[in-house]
Amino acid sequence: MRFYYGDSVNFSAALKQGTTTGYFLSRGGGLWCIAALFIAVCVSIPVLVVTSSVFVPTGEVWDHLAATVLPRYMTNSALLLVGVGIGTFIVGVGTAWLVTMYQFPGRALFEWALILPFAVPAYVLAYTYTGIFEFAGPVQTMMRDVFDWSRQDYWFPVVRSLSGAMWMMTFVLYPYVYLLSRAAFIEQSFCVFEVSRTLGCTRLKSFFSVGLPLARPAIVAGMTFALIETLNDFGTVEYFAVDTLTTGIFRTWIGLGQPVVAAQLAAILMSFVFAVVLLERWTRGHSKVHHTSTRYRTLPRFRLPVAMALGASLMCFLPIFFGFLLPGSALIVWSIETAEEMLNADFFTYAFNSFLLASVTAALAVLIGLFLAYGQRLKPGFVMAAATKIASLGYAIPGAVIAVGVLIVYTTVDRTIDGWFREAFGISTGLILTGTVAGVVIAYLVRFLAISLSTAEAGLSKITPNMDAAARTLGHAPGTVLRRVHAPLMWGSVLTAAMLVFVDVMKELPATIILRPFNFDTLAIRAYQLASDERLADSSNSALAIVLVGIIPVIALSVAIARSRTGHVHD
Amino acid sequence: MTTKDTMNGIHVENVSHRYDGPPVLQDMSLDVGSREILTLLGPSGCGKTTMLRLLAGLEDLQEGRITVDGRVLADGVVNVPPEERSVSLLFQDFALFPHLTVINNVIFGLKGWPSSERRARALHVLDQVGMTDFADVYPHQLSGGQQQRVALARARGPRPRIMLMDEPFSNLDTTLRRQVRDIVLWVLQNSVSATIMVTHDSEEAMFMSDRIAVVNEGRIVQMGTPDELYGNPVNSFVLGMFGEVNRMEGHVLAGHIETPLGQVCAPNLPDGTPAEVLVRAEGVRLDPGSSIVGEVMTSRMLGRARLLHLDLEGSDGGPLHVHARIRDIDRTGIKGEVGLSLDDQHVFVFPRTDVK
Repeated sequence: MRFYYGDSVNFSAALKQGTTTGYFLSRGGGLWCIAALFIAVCVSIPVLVVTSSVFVPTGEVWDHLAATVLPRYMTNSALLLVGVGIGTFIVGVGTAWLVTMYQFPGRALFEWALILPFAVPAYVLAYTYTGIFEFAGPVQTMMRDVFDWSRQDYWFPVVRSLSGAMWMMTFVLYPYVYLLSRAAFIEQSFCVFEVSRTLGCTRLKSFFSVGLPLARPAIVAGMTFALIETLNDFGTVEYFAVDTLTTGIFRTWIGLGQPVVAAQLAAILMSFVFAVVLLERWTRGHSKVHHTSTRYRTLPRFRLPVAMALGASLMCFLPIFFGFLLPGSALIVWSIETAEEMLNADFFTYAFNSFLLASVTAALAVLIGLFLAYGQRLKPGFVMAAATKIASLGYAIPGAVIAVGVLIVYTTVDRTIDGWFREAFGISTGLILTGTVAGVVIAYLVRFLAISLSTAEAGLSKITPNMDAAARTLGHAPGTVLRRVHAPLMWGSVLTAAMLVFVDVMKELPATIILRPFNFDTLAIRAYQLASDERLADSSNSALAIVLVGIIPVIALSVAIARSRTGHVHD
Repeated sequence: MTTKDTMNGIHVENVSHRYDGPPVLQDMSLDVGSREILTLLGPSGCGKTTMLRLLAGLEDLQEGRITVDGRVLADGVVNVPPEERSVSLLFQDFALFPHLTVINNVIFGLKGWPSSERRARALHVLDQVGMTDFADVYPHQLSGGQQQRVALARARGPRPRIMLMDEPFSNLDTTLRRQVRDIVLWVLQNSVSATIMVTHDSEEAMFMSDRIAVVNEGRIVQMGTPDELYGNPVNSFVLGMFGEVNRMEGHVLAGHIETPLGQVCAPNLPDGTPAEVLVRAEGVRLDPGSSIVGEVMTSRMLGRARLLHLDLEGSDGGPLHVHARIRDIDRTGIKGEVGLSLDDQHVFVFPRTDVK
């Protein structure tokens, strides 16, 4: 067996250098690397500029911020992280354990329905909850009517608060933790969970002594995603008037007109992101968890006694209810109520703008993703690896930070181009990047390139180098191989990547707010503006449209989960 | 079978190759006639796979020359691309196209054939490997053995002049492996291709090949028919490739070497030469009359033979562990001390290269 593995590895490694597109590469290998580096630079420069802004002295303004609001920004951001961390952990891991280990009414349904809240952006949830639960909302109004109370007579949780923001984000972000820990529970089950049972541990004890520790890397990875999204959030905290680093960036930039200080705040926000990522690395530590068995099968699930089974059903139902059903129904009701007034030509302009941005970005992201993924396969070396790594860093960086960076860097580029054209041709080009949709698209690419890149890599890994060799020796030129073997095999991955980027762009708020051209509004912007004007019901059409688009990949994922018998999420 | 004098078949002349670092192939020359099957046998990393890649045109030749049927495929200047070489490859991972049905996998290789004949040709080669019933099935629905049979049909489809096989059976379990290699051998013997196979499994090499080239560290150590290599290995490396050996050391004294298993002839070595004595497991015989005794530690029935684990007193006084493969498999009751002798045709003496 050793021989076989050794040889197989050697052969693949050797073959990498002579594959189909290797042919193209041998004619332009240098160009490929240069182009990849160029992409990496374009993508990373905004972030680098933000980071380096720390070293620019800004004196008074900074001192003022540090003395007044900065501590509050940082405390709130940190508290938010802790709250969302705890919330997503309990909800995500708890439901994942229940659906993998126990049998109770509705389990099969919950198994896939638990990811539905993915479709709802946190800010949309914030708007809906405010609409439902605020003082003038239907719930409190009804309570006052029924019990004949007035304002002083009862206590009701304040939706628009720090803890409210924690709840909102927990409800929409726990699916990250749920998905990853569920997969981990299923994978580990066969090899070790049964062993632990035979060694005398009860189910519950096995959960704490075996299940949880083994799933730790997956759980931490899921929480890392959730926390990065938490730091990225602008809509929720802004609407709830919770001052965080993200809202601080906006206030300093737009309110105070201090781009450098805003960039410095952005740098602090990034240090939070790095702290989260480092924490994940550190938690993973030296205890690498390897799966000792490659065979997975569905465990015989333990049938819970009636009372506990109902409890389990309720525990799985509540997150779906609060994260999807409740806000979804509210949006539908309000949309119908306001349809006549709000579904006008403007709405369709916003929808078109969103669609335009999302499709252009998706197409570019997929092209660049394919380009880099192929490059890495054909020219496996330090340059390509580094370029790819750098290009996918953006996913961890909050949209506001990226926007600030893009604006600083590409305004300079714009000015340079403009100056050059004035000198050479006597015409002004204006701000051709930051003054147009190009700026927004660049920011989206910086943030979402990682998605299309990893999907392209996954798709490409299905095409073994031997398939290339087989196709070539069977008489087909490189171009034909690309068309007849690679294209059909990559098609699914390409569509998936395009869909994921499309949906993320539809939802994106902070970067869009900062970078969109004057008078160019999208559905997300529209929802945000109307909600800011306290026209919550009016904002529901735009919000609903975003949720409806967002639900497409979620359904695709759900179907995959429902289909996968062994519990593996097929791509 | 060699065809050095004719133009037919594969001619590899003085090929050397290196990636970054030490050379993986050094001055390698080969001739394979059409209808002939040559196997490159060697441990992993010995350069045999690189040879296949050079032949297929998947790698640019750096030094030397490769001609097939008199036509230069590569000589460092000319480099015919793989699709124009009339080469077919068989891989250990089968490399079938997952998005094409079995028959379309085969048809994929029939480029340049009249479209009216493609389907018939594909069905014909599928029939040769017994896979016609699966023509419209997708590869993932097939077992490993079936996939490799389809891969063989696909490789045979265009009637290649060269057939290259890279560990074609190593992904199959033992039973399937026997079946599949039987089919492969049968199909190859009914074709005019020159075949080069690469493997690390000597039994497979002997089963499949007309000739074997034992390769180590990028060089051909010995090339010949399986009989020649088995009967007259040039050194301990070649001997070691063909089955289990017991190794002992000693010095030549008057044309002989004393070993714990008795005296061994070493007629061509001068006195005092440090030498290694290698005895195949099948060369250790039970001999009740012998004064050399060993103690049976374990006795295991292996099917065609019985393997005995024996303990003897070594020449340095310490214990020596020896394996003996004996034919009379019925002797379940072997235990205790047994007399031993050597079968000369399985005993080999080589001067030691690791000491002066």
